Amino acid sequence: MKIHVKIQNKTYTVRIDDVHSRPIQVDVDGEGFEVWPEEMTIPRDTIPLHSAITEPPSLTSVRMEEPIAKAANQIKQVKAPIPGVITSISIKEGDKVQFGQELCVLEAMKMKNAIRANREGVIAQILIAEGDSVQHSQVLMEFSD
Amino acid sequence: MDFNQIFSYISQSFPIFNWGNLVMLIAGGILIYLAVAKEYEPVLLLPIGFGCILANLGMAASPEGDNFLSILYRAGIETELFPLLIFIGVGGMIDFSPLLAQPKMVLLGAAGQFGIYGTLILATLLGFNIRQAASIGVIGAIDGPTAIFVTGKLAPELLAPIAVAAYSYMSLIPIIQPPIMKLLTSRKERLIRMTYAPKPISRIVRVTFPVAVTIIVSLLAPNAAPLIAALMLGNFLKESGVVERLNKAAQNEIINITTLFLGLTIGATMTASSFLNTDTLMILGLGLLAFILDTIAGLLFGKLMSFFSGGKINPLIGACGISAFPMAGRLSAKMAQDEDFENFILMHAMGSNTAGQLGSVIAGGLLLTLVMAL
Repeated sequence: MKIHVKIQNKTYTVRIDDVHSRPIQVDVDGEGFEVWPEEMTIPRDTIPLHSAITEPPSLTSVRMEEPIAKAANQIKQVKAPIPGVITSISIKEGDKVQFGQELCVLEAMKMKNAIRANREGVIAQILIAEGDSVQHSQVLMEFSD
Repeated sequence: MDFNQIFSYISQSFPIFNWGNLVMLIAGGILIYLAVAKEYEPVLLLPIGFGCILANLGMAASPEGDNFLSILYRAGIETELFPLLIFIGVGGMIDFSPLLAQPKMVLLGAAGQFGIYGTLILATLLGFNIRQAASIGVIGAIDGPTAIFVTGKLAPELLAPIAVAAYSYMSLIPIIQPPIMKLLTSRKERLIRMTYAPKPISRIVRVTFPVAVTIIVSLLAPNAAPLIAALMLGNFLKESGVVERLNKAAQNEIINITTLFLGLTIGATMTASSFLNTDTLMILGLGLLAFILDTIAGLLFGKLMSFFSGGKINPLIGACGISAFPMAGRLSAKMAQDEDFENFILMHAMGSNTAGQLGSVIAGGLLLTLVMAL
């Protein structure tokens, strides 16, 4: 299924393969995205097939994930989302991590915040040590690929 | 010999002891249980619970008494010294930079105070006089020291239930707020990511901020002046960077000693005669309502800001526009992370929460001015 979306006078070609797959694989002008529809509790069998074809998930109810691993511009760096102090590091260089796995703990405003992997991959380099103060968007770790 | 006989036999040797005292011993025991077994704000609930037990064993704190708890009462509660000393420590713990970086958060700190006025009106309808009603409304900001400060001035007879309500609801924030937050926001709103990339706040701004706020608030709301001055003094000790010893003392020794004495003394006012009545139940209920209304007002205002910002503001940060620093801010941040582990709204939540801390002090001061003028 192909849709043309016009945003600020620029037309994007969006291709959706299978609206039943979770996440839905979406191709926007050649760049891959994973999309999670909001209504995840509806079992796929209850959706009539024809409505799935005629009513693609509306763009207001989906959340864009980071481009998927196969895309060229994948996120290689893990950055600090907020300033704070690294209180512990949960993995070591060379470790293979899963999506959602805790990488390190950043303490800010006396609250411990788990920094988790937003993709799977191998951590090539850890650029911080326990006790380090980090700034917003400082690179904490790098994936190998 | 049945139980009544045993009881009357025992109570002969304790002439001051009656069934009401027994109920209050159990109430004190529950507070201690929450503190020790559940670790709900143990620093507050443990001394309050212990004080409650002492109060019902003939050691009640009162303005006229001569036991040690009464001496503490006259020294720290009647004079309003304890809440002010606590605020010096709180000021040292607060970091205003998330607020200074995002000044629009002040709006959320103001919105989080609406419940105070709504509850005030309801309390007057239920038969409380205006001074009592104002004191009950202040519970909504979940700011123990301000509640004690305002109540001590307006309705000292209600000090025990109001202080107990303010402090117990503070410890119940993680239970009371999340259902309201989930009810009033959609998942899509909770998923709104907010990046924290503010301009760095220069040292000169951070150092002058507490002094400037003290001057401005003292002129605008003179009744809030002692509270704001104590809070800002603590913050000034920290931000000045030259009196690290004093800063550490304020954040540790001073606030710890005062919290112990304040909790113990407040607990020691919970005698059966002052606590076991319908007024107390109404105050606990109205206080809870004030808290819920404040949370709702904050969330609705957060949604409004979210709408006007074109969906860039996560409305969850509205819920922490109350006082209760830093528990409320942490809770908002946690709620957002529960939905999306990459969503860190902590700094925005703290901006809103520090604004709420300022807002509750100013609202308390304005309320004092308003009611004392009547």
